[in-house]
Parts: sequence; C-alpha cells; structure tokens
Amino acid sequence: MGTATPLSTAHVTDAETPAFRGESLVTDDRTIYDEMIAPLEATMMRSIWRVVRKADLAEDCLQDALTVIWKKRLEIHRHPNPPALILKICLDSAYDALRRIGRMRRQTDLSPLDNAPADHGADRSLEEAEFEQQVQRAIRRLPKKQALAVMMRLIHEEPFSAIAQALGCSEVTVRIHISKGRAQLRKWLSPLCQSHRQEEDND
Amino acid sequence: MTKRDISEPDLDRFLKQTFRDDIPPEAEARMNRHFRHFENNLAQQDAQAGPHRGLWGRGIFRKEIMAFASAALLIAGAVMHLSGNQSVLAHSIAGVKTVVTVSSRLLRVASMDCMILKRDAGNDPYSCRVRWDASGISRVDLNASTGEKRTLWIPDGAGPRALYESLAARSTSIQAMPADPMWQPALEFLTPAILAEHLESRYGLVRALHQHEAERNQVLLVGLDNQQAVEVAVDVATYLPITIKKYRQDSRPAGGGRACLEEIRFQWNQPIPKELLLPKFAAGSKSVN
Repeated sequence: MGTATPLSTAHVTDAETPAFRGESLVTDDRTIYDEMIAPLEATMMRSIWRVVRKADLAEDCLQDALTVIWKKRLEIHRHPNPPALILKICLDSAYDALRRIGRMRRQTDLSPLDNAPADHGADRSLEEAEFEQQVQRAIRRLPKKQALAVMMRLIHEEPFSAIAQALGCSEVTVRIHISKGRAQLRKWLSPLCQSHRQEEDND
Repeated sequence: MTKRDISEPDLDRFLKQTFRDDIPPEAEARMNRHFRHFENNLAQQDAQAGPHRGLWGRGIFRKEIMAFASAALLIAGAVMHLSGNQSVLAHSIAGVKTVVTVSSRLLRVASMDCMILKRDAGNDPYSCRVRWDASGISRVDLNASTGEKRTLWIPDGAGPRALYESLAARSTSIQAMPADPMWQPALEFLTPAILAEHLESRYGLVRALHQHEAERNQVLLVGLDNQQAVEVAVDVATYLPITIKKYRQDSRPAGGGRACLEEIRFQWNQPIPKELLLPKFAAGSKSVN
C-alpha cells in the first residue's frame, strides 16, 4: 500500500517555480501542460482511484477533471497553490461520480456501478466490497465542501493551509468543514466500523 | 454523539484503509492513456495553430521588444555566420530541447526495466538489472561474473535504513548500501528521476552530428561522463531513452568499432509483477528473475 504524500511537501519545488507563482511570461499551452499537469499525473490518477475504486469510473472522472483543469488552466496557473487546486478538482470529479451513482441507484434501485465489486481481483471478499460501498455512500451524503475537505485532509493528509487555498476559504472554515464532516461520518459509519473491526478481530 | 460512536482516530484509520492507494496497473495504464491522448491533442492543436499562437497570439510582445529582438538576431546571425559555428549552436539547441523533452517524459513513466552491461577494462564483465515502478521501489539484481546473484530493494527517496538485501534465499534489512563498487552503475539508473537528472545536468548532452548512425526513429545525443563518451539513443515516438552507451573518451567516433565499456538498455511502461518489488515476498523465493 502506498502512503499518502502531502502535495504541499511533495511538490514544493514545483510550487516554487516561477510558472507556478505566475511570474513567467511563458504561458503557452504546452508549457502549462509540462509544468503544471505532467508532474501531477500520478497524483491525479491515484487521488481519483482512491475514491471511486473502479477502473471505468476512474477513467471518466479523470477525463472530466482534465477538461475542467484545461478550461481553468490560466486560473490554476495564477493560483497560489496549483497542485492543491488540481487535487481538489480531481476529488471534486470523483465526488460528483459518487453522487451520480447514488442518483442512479435511487432511480433504478439497482445501479450496476454501485453493486459491481471494485476492480481488485477475485479474491476480494464481498464484505470488504460492501464496506467500501458503505463508506463511499457516507462520503457522498456529505455536503460537497465538507466531503472535499475531509478527503483532502483525512485521506491525502494535506495541510489546512493548502486545503483552504484550494477551497477558497479560510483555514478556520476548513477546520469547521472537517469537524462537521467527521462528526457525520462517525455517526453514519460507527455501526459499520464496529462490525468490521469485530470481523477483523475474529479473523 | 453516542457512546457507541467510534473514535476519531478509528474513523481516520477506516477512511484511509477504505480509500487506500492501491491502484491496479491496468487501471493506471488506462488512465495514463487519457493523459497521452490529451497530450497528443495538444501537440496537434499546436501544429495546426502555427506560429500565431502563444506569445504572439496573446500580444505579450510589444513592437519595441520585437524590433530589438530582430536586430539582436540579425547581429547574432551575422556573427555566427562569420565564425562558422552555426551548426554547433543549432545542434546544441536541438540537443537541449530533446533532453528537456526526454526528461519531462521520464518523470511520468509508470515503470522502468533497465539492463546494465558493464565491461570495464581489467574487470570481469557483469550485469545489473534495475526495475522500478510508480510505487517507488527500485529492485536491483546483480549478476557478478562469478555467478553470484544479489538483490537490493531500495525505496524511492528513503534513507538507507529502508534498504533490503537478498543473498541467496533470504532478504534482510540492511543499514547502508553495500560498499561493493559493482553496485555503483545501478545507482546511476535507480529511478527515472535520477536518470533524468543525469541526462539534464551530468552528461552535458548535445545532439550528435552523426545522426545517420542512429537507427531509424531514433535521435542520438552525445555527451561526457567521467572521461567517458556517452551516447544516448532516444526513441522519437516516445522521447524515452532506448540505450545509453559509454565508451573511452579517446576512442574513435561511433561506427569505428569502438569498445563499449558500459551499455544500458531500457524498457518503459511494461508491467512489473508486484511481488518482484516487495522484499518480504522475495525472501522465500530463490528465483529472482
């Protein structure tokens, strides 16, 4: 299992480049791609995968995220923390995908995407798949900003300052989002987590 | 909040466990294709848009600056023409552009499989195989001329405490890189990022004047490293290095039957079985290749 690397530390060098500070005059598309997106390709893929956990869905989300990033490329280029903003866009796209699944499920009561096991091979237990889906459901039930703040902080271990820059709010607001999101998740997931822990203990 | 609610650390642990970073190689490859497709579209757009794009299109250059730049270029052109160095300069600029492109491509590869064949004068020939993937682990298999096989696992950017060495059938944590100089060539190609750094700053690469000696669809870059001539063959389709060859600096130019001291062959973005990159699984295995 890979460990989460905070973008703010992993890409300090990138963030300090003139292009990321918006100082460079060279803003042609190729340069923007090479300087801003290419170094984050792996992070983008992994951040989306960690949330949606299905190859088809991850591809769709990446496509959506790339479209948004490209439309907002100049805005991102001038942003104080482009890597954090790009991560936020990717997670945003993954969150939207989870919401879409939720809507489909409500409409059809049997969304194929929601009920298919995630792409992890045949040896993965159904209980684990069900647990994953329950946690995804809980995340998508959170308001968007809470969900994004929770994912950026608790899953990707981003610093509060980076999350605040990405969400365009203050650090205090980020802390409130995370606190509220955490409280909701504890409420929704407690029975599930306890039974999951019991199963782990029994194993 | 009720007493039955789980604690915050437990919640955090469950979230991390559920949303763990375990992207399968197939999914990664499929997503990678989107980036390459996106990049290709960008290149096509650039080609179609022609010279009126970028800085010109956005009107960033003012007339005065352009007039000054034109005059400077005319003077530089005349000076270069008189000095007869235009070919060297052109090759140098082309080389820098190629190196920068190669370097940026190296930083986004998903895996690297590199075979190093060393034929130092006075030493027996030996080979090393370095395998790396985006998980960040490099595995080095050393085949000494004596037939001895040794393996090292080196996590990306980790300190020496995280090294693992396998001798025969066991692997153990070791405190530092073995002092044996036979490991040194492998360290030069441990990760694509390290390789990119060498290409950019260590070898001083320029585009070779003898491009006709490169194979079809390849660009040849030449440079120097520790008094050895370095030749890097780059695939023009992917802009990734295919081979690096090192010769004695005083030997004749390529094609003249020079003795190659070191040859490194690369394969990129090929799936590498995960168990090969994990020391704990390799510990019980006698076959490392």
